[in-house]
Amino acid sequence: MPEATGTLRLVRDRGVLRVGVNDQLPGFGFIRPDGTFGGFDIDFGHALAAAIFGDATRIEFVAVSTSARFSALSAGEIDVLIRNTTWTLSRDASLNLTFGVPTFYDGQGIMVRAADGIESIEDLDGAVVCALTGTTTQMNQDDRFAGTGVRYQALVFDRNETLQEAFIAERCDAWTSDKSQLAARRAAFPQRVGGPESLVILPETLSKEPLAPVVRDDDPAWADLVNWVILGMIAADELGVTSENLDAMVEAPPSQEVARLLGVPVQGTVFDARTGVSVEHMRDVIRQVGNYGEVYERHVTPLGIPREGTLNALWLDGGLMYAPPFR
Amino acid sequence: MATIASQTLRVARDLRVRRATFEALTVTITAMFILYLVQQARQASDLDLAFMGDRAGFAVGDQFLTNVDGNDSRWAVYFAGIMNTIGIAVFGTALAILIGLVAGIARLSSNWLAARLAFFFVEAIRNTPLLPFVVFCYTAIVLQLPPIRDSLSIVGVGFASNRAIALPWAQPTDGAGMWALVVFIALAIAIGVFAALRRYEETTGQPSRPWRVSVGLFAAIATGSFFLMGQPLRWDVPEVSRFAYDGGLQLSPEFVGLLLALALFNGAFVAEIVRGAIQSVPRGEREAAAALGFSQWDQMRLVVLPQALRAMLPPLATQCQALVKYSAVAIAIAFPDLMTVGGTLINQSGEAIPLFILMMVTYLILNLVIAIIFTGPQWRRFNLRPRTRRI
Amino acid sequence: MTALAPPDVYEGMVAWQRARHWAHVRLFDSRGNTVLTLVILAILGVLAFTLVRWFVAVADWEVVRANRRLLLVGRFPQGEEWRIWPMVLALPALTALGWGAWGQVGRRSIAAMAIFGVLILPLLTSGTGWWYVIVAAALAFVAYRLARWSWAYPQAHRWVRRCAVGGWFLALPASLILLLIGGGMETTLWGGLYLNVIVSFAAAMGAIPLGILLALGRTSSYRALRLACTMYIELMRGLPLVVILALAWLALRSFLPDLWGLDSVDLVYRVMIAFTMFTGAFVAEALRAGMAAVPAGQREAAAALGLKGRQALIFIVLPITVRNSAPALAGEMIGLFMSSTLVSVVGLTDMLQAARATTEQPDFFGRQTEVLLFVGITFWATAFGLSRLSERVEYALSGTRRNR
Repeated sequence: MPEATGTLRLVRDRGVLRVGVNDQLPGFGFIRPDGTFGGFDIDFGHALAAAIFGDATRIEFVAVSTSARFSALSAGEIDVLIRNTTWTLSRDASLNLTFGVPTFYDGQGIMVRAADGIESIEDLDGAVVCALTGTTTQMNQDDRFAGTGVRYQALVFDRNETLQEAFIAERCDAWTSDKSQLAARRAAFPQRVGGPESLVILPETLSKEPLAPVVRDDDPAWADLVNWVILGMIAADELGVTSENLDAMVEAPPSQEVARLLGVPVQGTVFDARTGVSVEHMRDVIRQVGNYGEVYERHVTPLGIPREGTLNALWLDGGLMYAPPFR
Repeated sequence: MATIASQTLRVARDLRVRRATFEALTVTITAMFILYLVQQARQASDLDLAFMGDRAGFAVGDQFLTNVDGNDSRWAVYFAGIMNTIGIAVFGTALAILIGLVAGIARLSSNWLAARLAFFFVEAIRNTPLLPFVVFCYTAIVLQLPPIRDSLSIVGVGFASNRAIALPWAQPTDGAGMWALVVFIALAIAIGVFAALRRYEETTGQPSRPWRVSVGLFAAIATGSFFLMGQPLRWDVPEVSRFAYDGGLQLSPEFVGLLLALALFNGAFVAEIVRGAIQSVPRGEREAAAALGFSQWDQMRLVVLPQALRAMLPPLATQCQALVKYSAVAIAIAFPDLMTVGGTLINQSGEAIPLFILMMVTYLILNLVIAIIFTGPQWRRFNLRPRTRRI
Repeated sequence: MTALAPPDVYEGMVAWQRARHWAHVRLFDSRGNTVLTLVILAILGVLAFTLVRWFVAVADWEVVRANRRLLLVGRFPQGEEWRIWPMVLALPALTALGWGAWGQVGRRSIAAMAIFGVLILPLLTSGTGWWYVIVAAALAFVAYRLARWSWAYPQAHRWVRRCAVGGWFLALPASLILLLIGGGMETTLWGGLYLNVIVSFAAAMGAIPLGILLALGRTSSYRALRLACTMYIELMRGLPLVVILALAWLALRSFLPDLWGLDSVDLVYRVMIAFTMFTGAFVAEALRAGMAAVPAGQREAAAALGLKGRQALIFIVLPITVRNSAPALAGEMIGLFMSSTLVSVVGLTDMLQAARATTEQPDFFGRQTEVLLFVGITFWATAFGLSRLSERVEYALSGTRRNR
């Protein structure tokens, strides 16, 4: 394996990658009853571990709350934060952190009970709006509501499960969060309390929420590695390399780009971008985790958020998922 | 040479010198340690609180005597958090003392059922961790109230639902400030009259009824000025609207849940304090009072309680301080107290160390204030100092 | 003495007459008491009805059953349980040994344990769990019988007591070693009730020596030392534990020196440090109160026997102090175990955190009441048992046969 410095070296010496994740967001990051983590964000963590060690299981997930995630990263508690975190200017500039390639393009929405007959934000005058603490949600909401002169009462929880209890008990009239999260919550809303049909997500989008991985800004090489593993998964999606056809692709790469992506020698030379990991790292990533589309299919589609027509489709299909060339 | 050596030895053996050296050493080490901490803090942060003057950008939902919104500065929002903590502390302590008095006296009751019930209450609470209890009180009790459209009615004038508990309340109108000033002056006059009458009573032995005179005076001035100034307070009865109640005094479920949990939790500890204090008064005191012909009520009021109070106040101060500290778990149920607001500010500004220092100083000041309230000079006439035993 | 005992009012009464007499004296002796009794009975009736209805009709304990592993050991990897089982077996046995060595299990304790066992065990056991529970119970029983048997033989009894105390002191290092040997377990994987136990255990071990030093410092005749210790104690007692934990979590690393990797020590250890520092101050205060209650005559007697200041302190004053403050110390330790649930605030998956996370599983939305109750009952039972045990030890330590 090539020599490594900085965070990568630290991770290798430790023998395990530490990723800060969400432990309570269905579809993106949650704990299964057997104690393992699962979800969309979790799989990017696994991909990174596969790229570094060739083994997606050499990873340790640290459940961090919204209010503590950046401090945990700054304090070196975790190597990378992949926890539905919105990339904003002030976070990027003032927290000494660097944001990577967005893994998911989201926007803040508002979910209400269908029976209440609320159709737009203006109908929410005087309502109680629930949100999670330490998120951009709180600020966006204040901007938007105060901007349109709609009075509201904020109720800010530190844990999602308490928020959900409060919403089910009709303590709040609206639940604001990223639309993907709302969709996930809605899809899993128990039949006992009305099921998904009893909830409506308002068409309005309050903000842009590009969710991206975060690293400390003292190690550009580490940031590059994190970025290019994700971009590699997007490129694999674009080039049609999946975990199923991987072996065939390695055997006979259909194009030079595929060969470069997978570290297959072309005319005797292997493309080596010197990212600090093995040239064949994308093979491990795709074999053990899959490409971007596979990860999306596995975790996000079941929540009822189809990929077609959204910002998360490939650029070829009109979305924003676009990988710079591998060369 | 020999003399100098022995001289040095003698100096070194001198107890005063050794003590002075040790004291100096302690001072040096402590000072170096503190300097080291400051140094490390300065490395991690510039320790500048200027960022607290910026626009907050988020609102505080529940407010006690303050009125801030997202356009106010971070200082203002932080202050709203402090006021919320103070509100919880004041009402929580009052309720806890009430519960504690009832449960503490019940434990000493001759009624078997009452004594057992109080015992089980105290044991159940004292062996339960606080955080699950707070979450339980909120989600399993307060949130289980009906939603606002099915509000329970409180004797026709108030409402209870999981949106709020709304009660009728005196709403100030124009001139309320003026009237409050008059009431304040009346209070000062009444206290002055009370003190004067009391001194007169003590020096001359003439009964002059300081309580009745001063309270009557105060009530007369307060009600008289109230009507003279055109009734500056309006009785405000809440009404149900779509999302909330209009008017009246509204207690949010988060406040009620936290209050309930903290009052019950601390009440169990206060009950033990009360029980211990009453038991610490020698039985002979009460028997002597009975022998002197004091009524049951006077025995309690004039003999047992003042002495029990002496034993009660210091642990009560500790318990009240504990309540303030316990209230820092408010974040678990979305009550915006000092810790919650401070946490949001840390997350928003990234200035962890200055904010931590600020929060620590705030809590220490609150503690100091409580200590002064409970054990300050105003209690001196109860002779709070432990009795010295003279043989 | 017996001649002075009150005459037995129950003499010659049959059972129901006794009951009636008892009820008359203890419940209905005056009008006020009758009203009070009836009111309490009404309240209890409503409460009991609500609770029973909830338990029978609403409660669904499947959430606890499905997540029992998560609640007890968090995300501890499958196949690594051997690191935990020895401790799970040893702790009940040690408790039973101590109980037997210093006292006797009363009828009420047995009843309480039986009720608790019936309520809780079926939730926790299926498959392999059963065997461990049976083995643990059997071990505890054997330990208890052994301790009771030893009462007849003073020499053996002394050894049993020594073993019990030594066992408790060895348990923490042993459990830590078990967690760390052979490649070890990453500390982020420690979780569930086991984490609560380990954290409070470690903090207790650290807080008692720290508290003794602080108490000695605060009562020392050196003014500077006294001032420094007082400042530390008051600082710790003035701050909420949540704030201290958050500090340990987010800011402590900036203050630790860059020596021996101290500044990158794992969160679990930092939390243990925070708990130790916090509890130490309270232990110091408990000890100071106990020290103040040491009769002056004891010191004077020590001085008269020619003991130097330090000798008098170690052999005379400290033992009496510990004896005096044992109840308060036990209270602090139980409080420490309770407050270990606050580690969920700093992102460790302790039992409470695991419990709250279960409501995120689609199958168990909104079943928070059951899990929270389960957590509450578990902590309550442990704390209750510990406080009973500490009463026995205090009673034995007090050296007197006075009635409690």
